Amino acid sequence: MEGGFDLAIDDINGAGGVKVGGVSYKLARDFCDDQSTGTAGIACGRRLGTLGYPMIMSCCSFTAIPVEAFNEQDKFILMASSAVPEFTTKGNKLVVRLIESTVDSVPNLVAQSIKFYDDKKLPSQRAVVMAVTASDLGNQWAGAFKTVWTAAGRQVVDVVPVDANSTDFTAQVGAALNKKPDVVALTTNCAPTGILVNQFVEQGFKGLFVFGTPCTDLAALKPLIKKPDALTNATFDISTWALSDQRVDALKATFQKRFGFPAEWTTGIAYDAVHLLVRSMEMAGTISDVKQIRATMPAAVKAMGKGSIMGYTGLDDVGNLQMHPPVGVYQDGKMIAVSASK
Amino acid sequence: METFFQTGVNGLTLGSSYALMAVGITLIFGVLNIPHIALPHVGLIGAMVMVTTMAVLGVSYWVALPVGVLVGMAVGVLTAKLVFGPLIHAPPLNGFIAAFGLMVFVESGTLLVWGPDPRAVSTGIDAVLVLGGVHIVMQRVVIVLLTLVALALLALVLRRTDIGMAMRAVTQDHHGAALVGIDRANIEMITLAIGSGLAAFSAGLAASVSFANPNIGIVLLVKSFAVVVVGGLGSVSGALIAAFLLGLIESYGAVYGSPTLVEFYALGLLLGVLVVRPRGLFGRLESIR
Repeated sequence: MEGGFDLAIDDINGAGGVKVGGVSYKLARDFCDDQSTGTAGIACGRRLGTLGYPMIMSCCSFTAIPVEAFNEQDKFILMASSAVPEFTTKGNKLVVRLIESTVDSVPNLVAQSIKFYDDKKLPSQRAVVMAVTASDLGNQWAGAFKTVWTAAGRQVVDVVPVDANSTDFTAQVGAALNKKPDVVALTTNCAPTGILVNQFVEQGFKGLFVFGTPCTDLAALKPLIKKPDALTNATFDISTWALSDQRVDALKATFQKRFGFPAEWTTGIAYDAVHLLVRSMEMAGTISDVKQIRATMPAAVKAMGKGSIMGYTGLDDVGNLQMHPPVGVYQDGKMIAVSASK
Repeated sequence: METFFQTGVNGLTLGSSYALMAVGITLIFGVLNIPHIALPHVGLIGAMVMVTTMAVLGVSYWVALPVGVLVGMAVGVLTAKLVFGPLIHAPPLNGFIAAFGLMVFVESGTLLVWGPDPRAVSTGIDAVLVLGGVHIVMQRVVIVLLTLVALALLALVLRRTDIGMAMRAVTQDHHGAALVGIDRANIEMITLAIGSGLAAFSAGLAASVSFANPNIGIVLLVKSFAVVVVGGLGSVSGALIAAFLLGLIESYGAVYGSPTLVEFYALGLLLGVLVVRPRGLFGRLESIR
């Protein structure tokens, strides 16, 4: 995320800065390690909020939800890559969700996955076991998945909670396989996803995988998978970041050159967030009136058009950025989209 | 029946991943009387050096693993000289606080040097043996065997060498050991080197079936400490048995109980043993000074 911020700031300052009322302002950013926890997130939000920044971006629901309690009072726009629906349902006028909520993404993933399996005439794929991180997002995702999956006449045979920091899931994988699943759905970060896939395959699982957020970045996931064949019959809830596109590829290359390691999808989100903020400031004609800046954002998203790395197409009334991410599959060593959503 | 045996194999492989780290901690506790809570983090330095050695020099896992162990041992010597040595005559609480500080320092340092991203390593052994429907991952078999070999060597050192005898003497009574001419500081340094080497070996082996990642020290610490306390503080054989016991309980508990409770089993076992037998399954009362 930091890298995405820096690249966007370089772009904007390189082009003369933020231009408001005939004055050019140089853009700068601050950083606070929220440790992906509510407590540290609140401390960071309080500290950065008092410094007068118009926007704070949060990595995730862990910190976004508690910080949301005071961002209006402290007068800053809170952008977050939060998939928890509640983030934008509390009437907060200064929040922006940078990724789809589970309410939007999971039904699409399930529907497209089932269609993909049916089209490929893959073997039975009725019983799913879910490996879910013990978090708000994990629970929301699992709940949404279960609703749609069972509505399609299929069965959830087990939900295995996994600790995102754990290094060995042998016991959980053994328990999951004991339920004879046809499909394994994962909603873990890349490291535990890699371990889980490896251990499922090693213990004889030959079925299908469904990858929910947040590890759908093939560049991050592929090096962690011992037998890439495991990914062949898998579906991925991806964003445009995962697909090859001239602008996305250029940003990835710039990132790699500058920082020496590969960019991840969070880079694209941060990059877009900064551009959206600046575009909104310029259109609103202010760098400090956060209500005015936020009110201008729907128009700013439209103005960005195809300039958005993440493919944003609009911003709804409550703060959900609109996008139409596809469901992806891994084919011939790369990710391809099987269909657009909606 | 197939599930039963598969679960048993899974439990044994899980247990072996806890054993070495736990033995390192209990060995150090026995000699220094300090719960070395930074040991998993020290071990991870060895694992990260192993990964870096593979990446930079292009050598195989089996060449890089001993390099990581040697670096782990060197870090153990450094901690003896810089952290625990100066506290040799201080109360054990001081050593515990120093270990806590060391844990924070090493965790921050490794994150700074290597970053938070997990690193996968390949050992070249990726076969899975299927026996009567039970899947046996050969790399995990290798880990179990190497763990047993390392522990057998440790037992040999402890029982058959002068250094091992001196280590056991300091464990039993460091005043008495000093009276017969044993250099306590030197023995503590050797113990920290061996314990840290075991930790690095453990982290390096674990990386071959999961990843090397500076972030996971605290996870390793919780399980290792549960094993050490259940086995009996200072008891090497107790730690070994408790490690396999925990692995089997987690594995069978997940399949025949609830996978939701897997992370609870270690703490449940710990609490249960503390209530019924506070000195641990194989601990001696006098070893808790």
